[in-house]
Amino acid sequence: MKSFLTVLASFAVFFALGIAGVAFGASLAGCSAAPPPAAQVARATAHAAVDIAKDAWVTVYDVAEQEKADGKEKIVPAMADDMILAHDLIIDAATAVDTNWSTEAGCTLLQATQLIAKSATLSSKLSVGGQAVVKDAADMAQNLLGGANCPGAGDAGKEAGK
Amino acid sequence: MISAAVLIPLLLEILKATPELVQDVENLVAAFKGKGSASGQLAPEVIADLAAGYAAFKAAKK
Repeated sequence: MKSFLTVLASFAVFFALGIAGVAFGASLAGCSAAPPPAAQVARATAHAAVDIAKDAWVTVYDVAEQEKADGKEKIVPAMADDMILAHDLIIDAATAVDTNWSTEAGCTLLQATQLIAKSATLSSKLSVGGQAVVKDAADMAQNLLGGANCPGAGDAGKEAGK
Repeated sequence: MISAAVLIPLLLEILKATPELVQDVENLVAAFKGKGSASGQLAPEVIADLAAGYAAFKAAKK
């Protein structure tokens, strides 16, 4: 009898674990579905690129605030023109993600990341991790363009300095 | 060999907890999927995240 109960209990344990496993597997079923359409992939990629550009912007702003707190008060005004323009460009790119992504939007994002990178050079306190975020943002924006040319690419600093 | 006296109470506990366990797993998976969801608007989120810094840079220009 004792042995029977043990076998019965073991069976029930496996049964209970099986229910949980099936539920988990069913929940993950979407992972094995067909790949999403190209338009959705493009949107997701653009979304990620805008997101990391935003992170880079915030990273540079944070380090500027740290420098300001340490007495280097001119750094925020020195970055202001480029960072304000980069801010506007990132929002334009984010809006394009929400509406209709295009090569032009990719160029907008690339220009924003170039402005952020330029501002970052004014700080000596940007951590290695922060530098990586800034570089990754620029690399991702560049990669998003897939080799397409942007009018005035690389002139972001000149534009911002006006 | 584990005795029935140990295994049966354990089993009963597992069976009682199973609906909650399944629900927890489903919630976890739903949360995971939602994290990278392509639904929702990005621009408002970006504007909100950049707002504090933008105000600071704008103020620095005055």
